[in-house]
Amino acid sequence: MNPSIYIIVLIIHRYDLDQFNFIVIGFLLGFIMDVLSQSAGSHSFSCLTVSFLRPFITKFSLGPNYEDFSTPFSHGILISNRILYYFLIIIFHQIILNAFSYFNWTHTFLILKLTIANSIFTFIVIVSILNLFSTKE
Amino acid sequence: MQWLLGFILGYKNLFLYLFFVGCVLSFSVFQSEYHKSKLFKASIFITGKISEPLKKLTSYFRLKKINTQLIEENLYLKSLVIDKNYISDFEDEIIDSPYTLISGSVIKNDISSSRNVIIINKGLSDMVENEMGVIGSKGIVGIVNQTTEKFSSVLSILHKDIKINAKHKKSNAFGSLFWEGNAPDKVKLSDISIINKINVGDTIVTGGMSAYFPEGIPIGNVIEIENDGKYYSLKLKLINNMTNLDNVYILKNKNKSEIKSLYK
Repeated sequence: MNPSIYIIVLIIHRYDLDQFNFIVIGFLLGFIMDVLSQSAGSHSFSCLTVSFLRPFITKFSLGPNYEDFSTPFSHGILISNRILYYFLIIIFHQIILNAFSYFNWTHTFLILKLTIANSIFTFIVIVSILNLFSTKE
Repeated sequence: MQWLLGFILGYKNLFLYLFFVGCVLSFSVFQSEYHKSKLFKASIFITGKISEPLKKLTSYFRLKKINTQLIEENLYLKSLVIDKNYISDFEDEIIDSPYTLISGSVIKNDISSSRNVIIINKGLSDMVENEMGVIGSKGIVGIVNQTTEKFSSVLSILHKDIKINAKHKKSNAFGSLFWEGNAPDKVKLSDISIINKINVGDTIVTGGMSAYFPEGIPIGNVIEIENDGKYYSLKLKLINNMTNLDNVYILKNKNKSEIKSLYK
């Protein structure tokens, strides 16, 4: 299992900033990870896609009035919604990352297995980190 | 232009995403041979899926051109078949065939009367002259009767007054072919001597003893044999369907005038 802790950047990035810049940040983050881990663009693609899809994930997990919140730690966000938000970001990232790494339908079962295992592990690590360094708004 | 700019700005995030996806895929191709081969396969699949209906669509619009090409090809093949009869038995030497072919299309075909005439779209300007033989895709069709600048009338094989020299393919026994005026797919071959052995199903071909048709062009198969003690009278089923004629080939015999001069 290999937790992708770096996606904490994609989770805590403010909602009220321009998404255009956020997509660039997502791509650069993934690209740096690809260069460092010598992978073939899987981190870039997963981070890029998650940064592009984040408004939809936010809307789905935080409800229709998600625009009232500026960060995932804002007051008024239910703990269940916050967990769903973390979990969706992580699982989307993991599934795209593993699918792009293996890039073959015959490995679907392996991709799902790795996605579930890594998502759970990443979720635990990220939630722990966020709770350790949390600042109340 | 302003509308285009507005459209791009309206979907700038999507365009940026797609741009970066392109960058990522390029990076993958550059970085990994495995991804390169997989993406190459995917691109072939996508290109195939897109180009297949496009190809079907374009080929539909090219049908006329393809049809013309096929007619030309057929013309060449028909001339090869006719030339084959002129190979010497003793040497592998091809004697120059006196026949050349001109392709044409039927614009009017009649089978309802007892003297049927076909109109084709080739005339004097296409070197078509009177008394040239006309064949279809499978067998003989008729003989050119009259020509104008652009069109010609052909006396169909289904014409009561037309008689064609024909022979039994196996025994080379000659006879005279004519239409009785009944069914458009049946003709009669008479005056074949009973010394020849003829069976139902045998093929009858042109005899080559006229200047109209070369030897060996299929006419029909024997379906009924009558015997009057001296001669056979054979009922034939035509190989060529005379009711749906489309493309025909007009046979130009270079030696026709020479042969005709001997009859005088």
